[in-house]
Amino acid sequence: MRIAARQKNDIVIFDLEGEIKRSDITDITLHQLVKEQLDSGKRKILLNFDGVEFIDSFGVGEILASYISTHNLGGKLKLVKISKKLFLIFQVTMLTKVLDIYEEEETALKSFS
Amino acid sequence: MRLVGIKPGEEKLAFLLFSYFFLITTPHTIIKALRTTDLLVRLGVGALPLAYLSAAVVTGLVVVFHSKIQAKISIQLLIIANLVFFAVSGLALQLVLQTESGRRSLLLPYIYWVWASVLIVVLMTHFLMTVNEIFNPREAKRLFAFISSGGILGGILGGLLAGILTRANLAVLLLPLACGLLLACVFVVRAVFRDRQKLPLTAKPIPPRKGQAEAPKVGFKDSYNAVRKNSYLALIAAAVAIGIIVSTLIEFQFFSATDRHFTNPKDLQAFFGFFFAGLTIFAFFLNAFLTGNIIKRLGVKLTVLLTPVVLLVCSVVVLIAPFSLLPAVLIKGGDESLAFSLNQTIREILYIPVASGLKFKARPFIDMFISRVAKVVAALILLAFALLLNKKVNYLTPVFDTGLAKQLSWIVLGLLVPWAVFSLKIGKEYVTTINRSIKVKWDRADRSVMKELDVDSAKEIFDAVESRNRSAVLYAMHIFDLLQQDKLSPEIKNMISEKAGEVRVSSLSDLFNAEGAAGFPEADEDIRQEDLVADIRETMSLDAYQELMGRHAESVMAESQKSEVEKMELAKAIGLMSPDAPMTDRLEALIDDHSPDVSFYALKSAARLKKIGYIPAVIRKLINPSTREDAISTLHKYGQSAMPALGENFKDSRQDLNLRKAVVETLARIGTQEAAFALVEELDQGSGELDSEIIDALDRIRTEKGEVQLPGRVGKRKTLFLVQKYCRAFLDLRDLGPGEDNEAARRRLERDLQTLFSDIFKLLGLFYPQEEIRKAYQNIETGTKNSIAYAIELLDNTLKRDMRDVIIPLVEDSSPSERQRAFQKILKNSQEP
Repeated sequence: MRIAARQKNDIVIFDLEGEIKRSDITDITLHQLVKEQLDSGKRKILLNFDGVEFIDSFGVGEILASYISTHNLGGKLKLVKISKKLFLIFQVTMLTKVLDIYEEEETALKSFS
Repeated sequence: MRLVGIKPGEEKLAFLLFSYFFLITTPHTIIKALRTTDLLVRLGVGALPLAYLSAAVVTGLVVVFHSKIQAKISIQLLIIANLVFFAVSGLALQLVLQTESGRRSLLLPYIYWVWASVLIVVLMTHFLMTVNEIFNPREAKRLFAFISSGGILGGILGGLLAGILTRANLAVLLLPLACGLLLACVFVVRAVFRDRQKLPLTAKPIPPRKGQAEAPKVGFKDSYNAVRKNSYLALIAAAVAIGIIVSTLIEFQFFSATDRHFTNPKDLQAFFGFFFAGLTIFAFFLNAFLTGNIIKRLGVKLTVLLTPVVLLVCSVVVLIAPFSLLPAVLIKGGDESLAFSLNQTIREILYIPVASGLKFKARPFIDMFISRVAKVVAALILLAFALLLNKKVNYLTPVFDTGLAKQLSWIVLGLLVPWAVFSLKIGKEYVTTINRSIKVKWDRADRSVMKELDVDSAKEIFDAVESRNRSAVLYAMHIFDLLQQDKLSPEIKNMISEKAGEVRVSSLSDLFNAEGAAGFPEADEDIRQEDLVADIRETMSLDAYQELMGRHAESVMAESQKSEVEKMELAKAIGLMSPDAPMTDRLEALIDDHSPDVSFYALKSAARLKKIGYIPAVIRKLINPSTREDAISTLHKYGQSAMPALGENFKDSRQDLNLRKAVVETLARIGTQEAAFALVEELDQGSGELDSEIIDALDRIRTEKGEVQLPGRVGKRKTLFLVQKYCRAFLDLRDLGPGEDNEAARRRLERDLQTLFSDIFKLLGLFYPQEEIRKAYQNIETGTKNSIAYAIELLDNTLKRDMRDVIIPLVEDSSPSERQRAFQKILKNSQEP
């Protein structure tokens, strides 16, 4: 899994690529990267899933942990460009009840304001 | 200007309000001395009950009229019209008083009294309504002392003018002078309302947009209902009413004593002038040097009790000492000086958390109508008292032996008790009302996620889908798991039967409507779920199965190059067995496997079997980020039985820091009383490197399990420690100064400040009401100017003094240099034994 960070106004966007699986992680996890941004005062995080093929339970844990850390500080974490298959699983597992998921980056960015 | 609490930009408005107050209190004091002397000299002290009664009735009618007018015209116009009316009518009264019939009239002293009473009530109410609309609680606390000083200065000048001009035989000039000052006030009022428009948006009411209707105007019935339906306003009304009855009785005692003491009218009028001036000087010092400190030290809750307590002491003195001018001056001085200073400020503060619309309805009703009703009650008490004790009436005026006024103290004492009770209730309601004025902006997300989601099942589904690509055996075991948990709904069955990566759907509904389930075991229709579960369990418990599988496991474990998938299958299968099955002994090695996927399946099986022997291996997995969450989840499922091993690793500072942090997270999830105590113990005695994680864990436990007890002593000590750290970090940041060289250090200190600030509030939430503290923190962090002010006020009234003294400087809206001084003081105090 590769993660690149960029910023638009006060929103930090993480572009995720590959599979978010426990066997694929490098030296730093998505949650740790999100926490670093929170520590530096950022409170708006967007996870771009455009390049994500699949995630396992570890990936779900990372997303939820990032969501909890962000919201506990009064911030917002949202997801964008999630594949149809993943979205379906998110729906069936009711993750969509908790997570804000958008189809387009522009819409997601606007939703933070 | 900083000395009197005025901030840049506020000077003009503060000065105008100071002048406004000054220009109504000067004539007020002059007129008070004139009308009292006139009544006492011409009719005697026995006329007072009737004077009070008629003034109350007339003022009541004026209030009704005022409410109707108020609903039709702007407040600015209303104030100006009243000022002009009183100035003109005052001059007319002066003319009548100079005529022979005016001097002989027995009715004119009553008219004078009533006119002056209406003037005082109307002008004062208008002033207070204006101030109340402009400021929020913190601004009010800061500026009221200065603005009130304008009124006090007016009282001093008015009293001195009345005394000096009377002594100089120029008393005839006093009423025209008072009327002139009222006319001058018109210009100040216009300037106040002009300047109000230039205030920052947060500090002034937002005008209705174009096309939007203005706020509905209110009448008497609305005002009455507003007070009746709101318990807080009803309590204020009750306390105000009792306060006025008590003040009236005390005033009667005082006037009786003066009437008895002075025989010369000129001496009496001069005495009143100088007494009122002296009283206001005393009130000024009380206001300038004590009011702020008293409110700061006692808080609103206790300050409201101060006046009844002081009057209680004074009344006892009046009862014990012989009835003369001195004890009467003491009790009247006590009552009036407190009314001018502390009571005035505290009453303004009490109204502030009331919503603007409600306040607009209730305030005139309480200040004008309730006050008048209280005056009527006081007058009736006095009439009854005069008639019962003396039984002589000269025309309509009871002839009263002034010495009997002393006995009134028994009635005063009887009224002070309910006053104190209501004051206590008001103090409590004030905090509740402030509390209601701000909202919690966000809850702990772990709580909402747990409420909304079955995280374990969600993860199980993801893993089932993922296993489809890896191994048919793993996949079948996942399906079996879901079946056992009754989670295999048709939708899930459809979804997970699609091979990962092969899903090509044009829409979600297509996928849901897909008939058949390619790749799904063909066993769902014919085999009953219970039978399947029983069969599998039975098979796994067979000795032959255990022996065969044992051999298979040996070969899988022996060959290090053996397929990772086979180990995963083995780990998963062990989890389906009974805990006493021989195969389960092999799980520890699988937990320790270098592959995170193998460890994951082994950890899940360990969570099912819950054998104590696995715990050390599970704890070892807390170090690796790829298995940490799974290990935490496993230990969470062990619950209390994992506590001894967790505690050992947690306290050992030689252990890997990430492992110890993960133990903190595990304890937070376990969330038992024992877990909380272990965390508190480490917070108290640990090296501090886990403080932030432990504080967050305790905050989580307190949020989720309010019944868990946390020792406040440790929380308080740690809070003070963190406050000192915060102060030092702030001072270090100030010392750094600008420059790129310091950028990294600056960022680190800013981050520390942010973390410490959050930790301090989480700690406070452990030994104070957590919701209040969270609300205050969130509003201070992200609120508007007004909600920040309410949040600080809430803290001010929630925290006990030891905490308040160190927390309020952290959140108070002050300049960096003021903060620096305050923080240095905190650090200095902390070093003192």
